[in-house]
Amino acid sequence: MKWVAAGTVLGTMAAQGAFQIGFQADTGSTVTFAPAGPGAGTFAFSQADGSFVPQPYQWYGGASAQYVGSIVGSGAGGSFGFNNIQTALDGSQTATITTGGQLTISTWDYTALTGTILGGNIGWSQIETGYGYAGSIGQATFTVDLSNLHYTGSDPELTFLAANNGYLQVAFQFNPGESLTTLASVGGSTSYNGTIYTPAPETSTTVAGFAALGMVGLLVVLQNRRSVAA
Amino acid sequence: MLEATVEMMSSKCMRMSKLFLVEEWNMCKIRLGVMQRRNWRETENNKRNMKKIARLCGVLAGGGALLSGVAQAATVNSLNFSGLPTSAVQFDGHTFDFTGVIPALQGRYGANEIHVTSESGFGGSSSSVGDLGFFSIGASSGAATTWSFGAITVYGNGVQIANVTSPANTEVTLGDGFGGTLTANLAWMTVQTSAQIGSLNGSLTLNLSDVTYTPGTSSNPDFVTLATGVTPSLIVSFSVPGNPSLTQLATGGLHQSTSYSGSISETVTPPPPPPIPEATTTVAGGAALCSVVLLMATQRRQNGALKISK
Repeated sequence: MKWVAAGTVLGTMAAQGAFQIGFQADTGSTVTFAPAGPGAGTFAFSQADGSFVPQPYQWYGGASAQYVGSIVGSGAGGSFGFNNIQTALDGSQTATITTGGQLTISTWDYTALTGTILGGNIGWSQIETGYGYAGSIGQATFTVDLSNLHYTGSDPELTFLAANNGYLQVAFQFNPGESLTTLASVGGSTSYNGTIYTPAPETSTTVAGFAALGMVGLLVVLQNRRSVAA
Repeated sequence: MLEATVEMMSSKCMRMSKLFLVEEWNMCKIRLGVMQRRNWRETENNKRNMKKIARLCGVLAGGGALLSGVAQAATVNSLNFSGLPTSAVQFDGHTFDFTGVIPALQGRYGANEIHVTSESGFGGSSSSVGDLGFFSIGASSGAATTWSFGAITVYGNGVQIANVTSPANTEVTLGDGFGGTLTANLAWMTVQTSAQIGSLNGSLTLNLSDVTYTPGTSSNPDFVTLATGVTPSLIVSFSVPGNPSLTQLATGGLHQSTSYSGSISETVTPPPPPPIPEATTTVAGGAALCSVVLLMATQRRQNGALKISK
């Protein structure tokens, strides 16, 4: 299966057998960090102000901005919790995310929702802040496995995502940079962006598939020859 | 002082008891009791005074430190933005841009590429939220701007960084919603990727210079602050799935296009407090005064103890 993204804007799809949806926060939507006890914090994505995407959605995405969506944690106020902050030698930090949540995506045409909603579980793994190279870069990502995706609509990309599950990756930045330790002890709020994507098939799997296909083809040719000879 | 008198009286009473001077001994005991009670009260008062002095010193030191801290605390003013639906970061070899247009939305956003989604600092203002902007070459609004980046430095922890060759007259522009614009030169940039948890995140940093604000029919106070304050900086973050490194992005042709967000920030450090009295001098003076008072109080107690021993 190949999703062709002619004139790709928000990066829908690219590779064979996989697809991706890039998304960007709408006006008023932020990722906000708050303290939650010693060495622990929370983060939550707020809904947009409704000026572009309809509430309670937070962001838009897709090659033609044909999707709106939201990421809501199961903690208080839709938050996700994190703790166990680890600092690497280079100054980057990682923490374990302790709360699950829900991903929701719907199709729309810039004026109204047009399709059924895709829903799925978010099982966050880690959150990370990078070391401040070349000035005070403060950026971070967190990735997650999506599971239990369900979708009954007809949008081909959402159908593909629901059938294959995938990953949700979010990036954000603070300027000046902030560490996870600071975000957990002081808090902060900023803009964000992200992608939802399915993993590309492994090369070895593809090669094995082609090899098997070749063997079957060879077998058929040989059998045909035997039949003719007989 | 009183302690020494009490000690002397106690010795006197002891002598009387040994000489069987009953009446004098009884009188002595009564006077000794009165003096002991007075001594106890004085001792307690001394303790309380010492505590008060110590507390006062603590408050003075804390207040001084707080005063000093407040004077030095920096304020960060940030405009956080996201790419519009019409825009994405697009890599093509050693170049990237923020272009991309959805015809259905051209009327809505024109050639703008970013919009302010939130802000912090600026005295709690939110007057910039929703404002639109774009990156451009010179003042040509919305013109497609392509940046090139040079040799990539690879670090052992998965971080890859390259210096970006920016056109000399590259600008970022934000509209104030009243017909006016805030413009700034993009002075320099780096692009970096890291893959520390199996996912790529990248960022672009640049310093802004020559920040100029030309208000429209009304003015945006946030823009006034940015234009008149210290030089702000701008950071853009983006995320590309599939774990491509900067090297892979640079060699893969036009194959990566993704969403982005960013922050334009300035860190304002308030001017130092008036030279007289400086916060640190006040604290030092207060501490010295406290030390002298505590020393005197301690010496008084020691003098009393000395007289007792004599």
